[in-house]
Amino acid sequence: MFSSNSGNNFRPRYGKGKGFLPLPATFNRIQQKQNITYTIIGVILLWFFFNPFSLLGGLFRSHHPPQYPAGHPFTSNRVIEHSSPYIFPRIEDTQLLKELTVHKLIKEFKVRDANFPEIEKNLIRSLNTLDDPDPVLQKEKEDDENKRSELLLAKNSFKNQDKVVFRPKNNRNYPEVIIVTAVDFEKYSQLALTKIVQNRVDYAHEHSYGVYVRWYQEFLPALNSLSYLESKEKSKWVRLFCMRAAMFAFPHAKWFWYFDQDGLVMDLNVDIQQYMLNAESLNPIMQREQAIIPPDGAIKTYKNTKAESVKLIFTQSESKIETHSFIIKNDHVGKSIMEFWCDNLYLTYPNFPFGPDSALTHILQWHPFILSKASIVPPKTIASQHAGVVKQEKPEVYNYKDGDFVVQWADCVLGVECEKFLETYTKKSS
Amino acid sequence: MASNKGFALPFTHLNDLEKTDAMNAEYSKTFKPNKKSSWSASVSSIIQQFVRPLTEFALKYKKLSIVLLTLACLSLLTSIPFVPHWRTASPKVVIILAANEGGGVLKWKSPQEWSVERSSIANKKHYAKVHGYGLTIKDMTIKKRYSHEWRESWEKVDIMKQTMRQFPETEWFWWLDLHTYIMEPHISLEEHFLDILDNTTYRTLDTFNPLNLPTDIPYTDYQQEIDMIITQDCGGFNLGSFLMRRSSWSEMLLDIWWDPAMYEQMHMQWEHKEQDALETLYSTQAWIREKVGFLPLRKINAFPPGACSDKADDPQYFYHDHDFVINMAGCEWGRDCWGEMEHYKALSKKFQKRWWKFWA
Repeated sequence: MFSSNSGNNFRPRYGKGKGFLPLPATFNRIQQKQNITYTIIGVILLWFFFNPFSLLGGLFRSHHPPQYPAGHPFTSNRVIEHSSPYIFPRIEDTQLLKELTVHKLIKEFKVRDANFPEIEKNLIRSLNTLDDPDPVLQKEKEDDENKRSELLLAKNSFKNQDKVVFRPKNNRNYPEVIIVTAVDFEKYSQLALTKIVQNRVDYAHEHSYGVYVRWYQEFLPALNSLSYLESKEKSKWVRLFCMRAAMFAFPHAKWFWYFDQDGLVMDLNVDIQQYMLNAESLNPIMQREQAIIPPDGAIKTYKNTKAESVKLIFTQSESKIETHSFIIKNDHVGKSIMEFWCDNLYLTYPNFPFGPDSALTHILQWHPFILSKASIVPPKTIASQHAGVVKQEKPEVYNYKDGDFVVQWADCVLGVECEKFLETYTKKSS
Repeated sequence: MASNKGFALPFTHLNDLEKTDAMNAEYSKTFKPNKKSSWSASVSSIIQQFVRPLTEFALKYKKLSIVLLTLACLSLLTSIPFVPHWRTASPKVVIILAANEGGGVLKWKSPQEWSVERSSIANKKHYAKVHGYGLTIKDMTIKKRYSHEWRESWEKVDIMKQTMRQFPETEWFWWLDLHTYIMEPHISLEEHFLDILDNTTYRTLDTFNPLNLPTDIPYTDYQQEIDMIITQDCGGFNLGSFLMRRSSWSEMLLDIWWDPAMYEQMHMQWEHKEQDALETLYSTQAWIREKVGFLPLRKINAFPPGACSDKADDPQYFYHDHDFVINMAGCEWGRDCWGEMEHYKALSKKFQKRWWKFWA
């Protein structure tokens, strides 16, 4: 310890600050080692947050969600795109279609149910079921037929009307309201039908809305019975099927207004959206706590339904719900209500004397969800009635007066009779 | 205070008191220099640091602190209106377990039935706890309002509606019959299928269609989100284990599921009540079809060998090791529910046992 030559030269073994020996080469790496631990912790945290296992798992999962077929019209898998918002059948064929008769325009056949072979069932299918699977060949065939005869042209355009959908080049000026009408070539003459359709188109043009018109007879495959069109009440079912088809043809519209063929829009300047569809204009005219079966039914519309949530708007006569003129909102609930309303079990239910009117009454009485989305409005708004033979207690509530928005003559049965009303009101409106 | 004035107290001001306190503390410290501040003493001094201002505040503003305390109690311990409440986030999925099915006044419950019920409930409780799901056990005893021939076994719809009201924030509701057992409780519904719905479900019946329902109906738009997840067994739709999402669609379906005009016409054919009604709605109504997704049966509803006995050679129905849920469907009709339940309970325990838990 004490070397001979050192004398008093004591030194601390480790110097203050600068020692005479250099620091070991790894001395400064202590700091770096700490950095490494931090890095490792950081990497683990990142690993944890980004969870590469899920990414790896994703590699093994299919990236393509399965493809499902697109929606299609009622009687066919094909659509015919139409760029004008006025969709109506060839009214000029009225006479030809009458000559052809409905039996030539549909396909009827009889089947026996596998479960009940003793019962014979009549089925009605659209001629579209006979289409060639290849659309190009079918088109060629139809073009050829159309050139050959007027009758075949009428027949082909009758069957193809179901496929027509509105597909504009861009959705900028998409019509917000669509006026839907089903017309019967066996009730009205060609001249009368021209006036009826022209009136809808005029109104739609005034406010850049859309028009969707179909033949009554086109919906025989849905009704599945020829007798339905012969009965005044049962033929009302056509309205619902026509409405559903319109909702398919105009997928981006806001509202659909079914307005029956027995009526005219009298005041073309009234914009129905401002008039009654906007929440602020609908709110004051909604009839709250109104009995579904007037005058004193047990089930009433809700007191606090919000105008914004209304999906179905209709009117009442003195004794029941009417569907000459009703409005449906184009959203999923509106479509659901429409489809549920024309369910086959309602269509065939014998205890619905007024067809879809009774069905709607039933739906509103039993299903509070739909009742909460429905609104009854005064009849003068969209269903002013021609003052008919039936005496009403309060004619001022129901009957058309000059200056009303629309007029309807739902009471008439015979075509000739109805055309007289049409004549009178066409003169009045022009 | 007034009476205090009579005594000749040396310290009349609070400040003076504090001063002496401080002096005393200093004094004791100087007097005992070796005194080490023990751990407990330092903790208690820290606590005192926080408590003292609180007590001082409470003494100073007595009325205010009473009001605050009342509000806190009301907020935390009650659910009265007009007071903000602290709530834990509501569960994303609620499991609805139908217990006591068909029970009530008609018969005694046997010890086996009690045991099955206990096992099933404990299993769901454990599962819900592990994944933070809600669980509600619904009593399905025979009630008078369902005693009419037409209303039999229609409680399912009402219970679903009731549960949706009970958990207003929850998105998915998973209905489970009593005779089910979650075999792999570590799998969450999200990772199992909820987060990858498009890839796990099928929506058209082209590939598997035991009832031969129409595969294509007009206007159906499969771009819609799935709001109901069900399975198909050998006899058609199976509602022993299904899920429903809260939406206007499900609200409407629950409302129209039972319709008197339809049921009057069909109640002779609809043996399985709400199941047949749903099948009919599915086969005729596009709006129902476009929101329903199907899972393969074994995904949430695997069958034991006794069920679907006429399709016993088809492996797609029957439980394989490590399937998620087993549904002992129909075990009350001539099979031994308790035996099956005990078997699958033991099997699940075996599968869930970890190698390091040698003592269990």
